[in-house]
Amino acid sequence: MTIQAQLNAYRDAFNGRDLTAALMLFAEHAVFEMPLLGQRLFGKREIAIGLQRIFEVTESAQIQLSGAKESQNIVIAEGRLQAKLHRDSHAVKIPLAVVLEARQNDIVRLSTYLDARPYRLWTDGTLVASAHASN
Amino acid sequence: MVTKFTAGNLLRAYCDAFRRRAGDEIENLFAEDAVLDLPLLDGRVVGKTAIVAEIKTAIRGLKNIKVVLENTIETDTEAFAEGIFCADHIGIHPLVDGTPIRLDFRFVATVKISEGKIVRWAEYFDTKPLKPRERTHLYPISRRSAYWDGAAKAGVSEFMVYNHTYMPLVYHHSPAEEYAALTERVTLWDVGGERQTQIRGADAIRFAQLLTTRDLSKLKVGDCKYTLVCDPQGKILCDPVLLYPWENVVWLSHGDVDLTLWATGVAVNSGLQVEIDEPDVQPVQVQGPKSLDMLRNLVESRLDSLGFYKCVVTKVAGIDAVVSRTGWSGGLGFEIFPLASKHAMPLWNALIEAGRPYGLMVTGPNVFRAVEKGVTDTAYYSNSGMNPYEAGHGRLVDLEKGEFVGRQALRKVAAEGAKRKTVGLLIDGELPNLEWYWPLKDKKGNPGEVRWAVHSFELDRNIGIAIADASLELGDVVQISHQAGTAQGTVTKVPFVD
Repeated sequence: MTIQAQLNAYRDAFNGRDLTAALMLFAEHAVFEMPLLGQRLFGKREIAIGLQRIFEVTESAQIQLSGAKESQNIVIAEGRLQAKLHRDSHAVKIPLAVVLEARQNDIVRLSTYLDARPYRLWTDGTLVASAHASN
Repeated sequence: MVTKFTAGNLLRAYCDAFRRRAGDEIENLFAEDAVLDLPLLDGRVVGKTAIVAEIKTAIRGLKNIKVVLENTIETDTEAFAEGIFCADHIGIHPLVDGTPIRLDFRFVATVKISEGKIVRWAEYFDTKPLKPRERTHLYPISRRSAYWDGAAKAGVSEFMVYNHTYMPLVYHHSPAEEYAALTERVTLWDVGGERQTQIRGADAIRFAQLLTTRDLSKLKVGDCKYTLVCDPQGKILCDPVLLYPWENVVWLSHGDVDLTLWATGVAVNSGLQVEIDEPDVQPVQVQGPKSLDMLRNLVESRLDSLGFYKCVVTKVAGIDAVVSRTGWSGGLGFEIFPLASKHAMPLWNALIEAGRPYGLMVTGPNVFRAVEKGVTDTAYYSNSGMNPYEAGHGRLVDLEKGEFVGRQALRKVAAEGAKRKTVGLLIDGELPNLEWYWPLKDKKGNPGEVRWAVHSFELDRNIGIAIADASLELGDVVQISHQAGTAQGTVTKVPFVD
C-alpha cells in the first residue's frame, strides 16, 4: 500500500466510524495526535480509546482531503473536518492538515493539525454564566 | 536572500524573515493577489497589503522567535512542511509563579507560488494552547455590566473590579493585535463599570463648581470637561469627565471611587438645590481612527461636527443615548451612554454589526496605548495622596473661581510648589506585571515610585510613569525595584508619543 493509500484508508475508516479498520492501519506503538483529544496517544490501546471517544461525542465527523504531498515515508495533506457534536445544534467545518508517517506499511505517526479551540470535547462550555441572573 | 524562486525556498525565506522579525522582507515574497489562511484569524486574508499588515502585527507582539522546519515536501510550485514554532509573547506577563507565557506550538504550513511569488500561504495549528488558560474567578459580590453577555461572547477572560463592577480587560487576542486594532482600525470597550454621578437641579452647576477644581462658569449644554475632584486636603479623589448633556443636569463620569456617596455627603449641608444619584446609565467606548466612519450612519446627530470634549443627546441605532467625543485612548473616539441599561445589549449588538466592515475588535481599555499617550487614571486609595500639581494636572485647578473642596490646601501647594511631580521613564530590561507600585532608588535615596509600566509597541521598549521628587530632571537615571528584580529607568517626558 502506498503512503497516500494509507492516508485515504485512514480517512475512510474515520469517516465510516470503523474503529477496527482504523486500528489495523497503525503500528503497535504508533503515535496519534489530534487537538480535539488534547494529548498524544501512544500505542493501539490508547488510540482505540481516543478514536472511540471521538465517535461517541460526535453525531457525525467527516474528514475531507483536498491536496497532499508525499515523500518516501511521509505524506502531508490539507483539507477540512466537518463535525457535529451531540451537544451542538450545528455542524462546524474546521480547516485541517494531516501528517502521516509510515514504516513497513504501518502508520507510526498520525498528527492532525486543526484549531480545536471552540470544540474541545470535555471542558469548554459557555465561558461565563449568563447575565440573566445579574444586575 | 532567495537564490531560486521555488516554493520550498520561499517557504524557508518566509520562516527565516519571520524569525528575524523582518516584516519588510516578507512583503517582497507575496504576490499582489495572494491569500493567507491562518487559524488565529476569523477569515481568509486577501491581498498582499492586508497580509503584510497581519504579519507585521504578529511580529510586533513576539520576540525570541524560533522556527524549525522538520519535514518539508516540495515541488517547484508547492511546498508542504511540518515544523515547530517558539516565541515569547510581548505584553503578556508571566504567571504569578514566574512561568513565562510562551507561544510554542507545532504546525503545518503549505505554500503555493506563481511567477516567483507566494499566491497562497496556509497554516494549521491548534490555537487553544495559545489563549489564556483561565478566566478570572467570579463572585456575586461584584456587579456585572449591562454588556456582560456581549463581553462573554467576545471571549473575555480577565476582569478588574472597577466601581464594584467587573470590567473586562483581557480577551482572546494578543496585546499586539488589540493595539493594532486600536491604532489602525476601531475597538469596542465594555466600560459599564464607568459610573455617572448625576447632579440635578437648579444649582447643578454651582454644586459642580463646589465639587470640582476647574472653572465651570462658562459651561454650556453640550460641553464636557476633564476635571478633578479633591478632598479637603487637596488630594485627588478622581479625575472624571464632566458632561453637561441637559440644562441643570451634570454627569461626572468617574473612575474607581465612590464618588456618588462623596457628592451626596458634600451636598447635605451645601445649601444648594441639587439631587445626587447614580443613574442607570452604563457607557461603552468606541475608540480608534475608524470610529467616526463606523458611527456616522448609526448616530442620528451629525458626529462629524461634534468637537473634542463635546456631547450630544441623540439616538444611536434608534436607542436614546448621550454621545461624547471623549475616551481613554488619547486618539479619535467616542463614548456612548444609553439612557437605560435595558438598551445596553441592543446597542452593543448594533455596534458589533456596524463595526464589522471596519474590522472592529472587542477589547478592554488599552493600557499600552494609554500610557504611551500619558492618559492615566487615579484611584483615591492607591494614589499615594497625590495632589493635582504632583499629578501633572495643575492646569485643571482654578484657584480664583470661588470656593471648592480642597481649595485652601491647593492654594498652599501652589504657593510653596509641589514636592513631587509625574515623570516618564524609559525602562531597560524585562518587567513583570505591576501588581503594586515599584519603588525608585538613586544615589540620594528613594525618589518615588512607578505607578504605570507597560511595553510600548510604538517605541518597542518598556516605559513607565512615576510619581517622583520634584528634583528629578530629564535624563536622570534611577533604579526600579520590582518583584522579579531590578531594572534601570531614564527620566523622560510624558506623553511618550504624539
